[in-house]
Amino acid sequence: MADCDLCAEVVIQNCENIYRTCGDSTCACGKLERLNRRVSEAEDLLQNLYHQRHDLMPTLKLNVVHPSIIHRMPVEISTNIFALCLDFCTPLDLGAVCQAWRNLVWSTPSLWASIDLSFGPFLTPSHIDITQEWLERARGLPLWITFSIRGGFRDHWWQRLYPLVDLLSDHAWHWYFLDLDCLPGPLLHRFSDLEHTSSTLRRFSLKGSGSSPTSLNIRNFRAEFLRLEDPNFDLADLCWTDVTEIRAVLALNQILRAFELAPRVTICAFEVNKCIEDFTRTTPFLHPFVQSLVLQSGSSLQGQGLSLVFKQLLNGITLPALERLTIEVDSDQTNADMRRIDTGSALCNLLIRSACTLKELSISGLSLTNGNIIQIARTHPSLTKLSLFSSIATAWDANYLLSILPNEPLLPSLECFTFDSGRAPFPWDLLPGLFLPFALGTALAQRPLRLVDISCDCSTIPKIGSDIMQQLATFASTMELKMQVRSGERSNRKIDLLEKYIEEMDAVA
Amino acid sequence: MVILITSDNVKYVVEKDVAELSVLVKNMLEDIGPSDEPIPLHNVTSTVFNKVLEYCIYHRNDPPPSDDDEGCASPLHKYLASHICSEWDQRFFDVDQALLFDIILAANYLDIKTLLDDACKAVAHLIQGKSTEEIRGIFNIVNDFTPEEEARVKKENVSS
Repeated sequence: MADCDLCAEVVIQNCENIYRTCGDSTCACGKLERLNRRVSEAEDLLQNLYHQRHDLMPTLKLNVVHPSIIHRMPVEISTNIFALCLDFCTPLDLGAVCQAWRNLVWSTPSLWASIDLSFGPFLTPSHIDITQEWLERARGLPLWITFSIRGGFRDHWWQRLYPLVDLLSDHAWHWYFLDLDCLPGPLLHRFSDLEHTSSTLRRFSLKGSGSSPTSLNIRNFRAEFLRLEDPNFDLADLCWTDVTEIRAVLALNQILRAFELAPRVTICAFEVNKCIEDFTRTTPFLHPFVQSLVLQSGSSLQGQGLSLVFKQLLNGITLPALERLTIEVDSDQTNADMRRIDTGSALCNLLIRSACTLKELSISGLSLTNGNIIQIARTHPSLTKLSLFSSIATAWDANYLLSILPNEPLLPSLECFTFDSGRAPFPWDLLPGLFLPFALGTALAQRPLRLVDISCDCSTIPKIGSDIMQQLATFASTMELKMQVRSGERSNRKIDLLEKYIEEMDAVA
Repeated sequence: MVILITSDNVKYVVEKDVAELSVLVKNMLEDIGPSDEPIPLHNVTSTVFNKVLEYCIYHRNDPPPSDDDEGCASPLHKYLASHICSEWDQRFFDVDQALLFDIILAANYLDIKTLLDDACKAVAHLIQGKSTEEIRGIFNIVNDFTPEEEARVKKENVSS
């Protein structure tokens, strides 16, 4: 028998080895001994860490005495840098760096004035707390809110967002920009169910979702800037009173309806996404204030439908205040239809009917035939910027236009002329006619050109007489002149004929 | 021509349109009227001013920055509206951190808005795509959060 050294209990009988402990692995005494050993080891480790930390203190103090360079910047510069960072991170990310950054970020409301809320089916309750704190940190600054839904609408998971929408609605008094992206109808309703109109809202953006209701009352959103994409409801449900600028992806009839609904709109950019089969309009709608109009074809529109849509659109409006017009038709296949349906004449008729002081005209992909450009140039001497683009050989009457220019003072205010004839050859020899002084007796000596940018696709470098090139080089000394020829399979090789000529002349000299 | 003297007494003869990109210099020139008197730039050394001058000469013909919607535009909107940085600018700002911040301070002192904005963009670019730890490393910043604060920061960022 022997006594245990730790607990003094007599536990071992006939013990041959004087182990002086219970010797049983399950015995509390053995466990205690092992624990004591580990505590001792941990204490050694802790002491070691304390020593290491102590050794680091001089460096730490050095950092405190010489703070980071960024901490030596004036506060307004640091906040400016932080504002620039919001493109790729959130204020929370910036506030995670150190106390100084956190204090600065937390006390700068402008960094919290923009909030991007994007939700999927996996929501955590802390979203509401964080959003609430975020909005409070913005204080009363105008808010830029983007609210989008991803991951579909199954199981009505989005109903859990109602408290968040209510929270955002509590801050409607300082909304400035509201962007609602693909919200299901009831959630959109919840947003629009405000007690009072948001008087500070200036920009409203709405992207429709398949489940948007056909009837919706969002007249509370009185904005000056409106962006719409595929809205699946009557446009009259929106408040149009204050709208001065609209950018939208709409069907043909909706575009014409927008002109009727927005009495104060001056800037419009429309992408036409749908053709309405039975659409007819006999009298064009006159809008007295539209100054700038951009019309683009949506990717879903193809072929004859596209040509018809543009013809109906151009025939459906009269715009006496129009100053800038851009038409971009993005389809090679439609050119034959464009010529047959004569969209060029529809454009001419719109401009002549409107009797507007057009300053800028940019046409891409829309075929202009039968002297359309000459007609526009004759009726709109106010044009300062003319840009014509074509991706394939079309009936642009460039030869006709350029051959007339030396003899007729067309386009007397022209400052910028951009012409891309695509695969059609460009009449380079006629180009100097653009720069020559007008005939005697005309009010202006010559066109006040600042930029002439000509380009075309060509498998071989065109031969231009050296006298013509000499003339063009002289003109280029007072303005910017580009004469670019694209070659190669994907038109990826570019040669500037003028630069090449000047280099050759320098080499000869 | 305008004569400018940096804080380390280096004299520069600069064309007036270039010098007047600095609102500070422009105002001083207006105050003193036609004069050959040199203008002291107390807070700018010649090393930094060389860079400032290089920028001003390159950008002398740029259109003035617009202040459209300044009062109510969001920070992001402002950033997107002005985020045009040429290759030349990228090369220009490819300098060590100390010089970059000195350029910022000089642009702030001389009141050259475009240089200040572009230099701040260059600093923001240093932060882009970096983790919190990497940002601390870049700017030599000590993590001075207590464990409790650190836990809260992590929780916020996970939830956001």
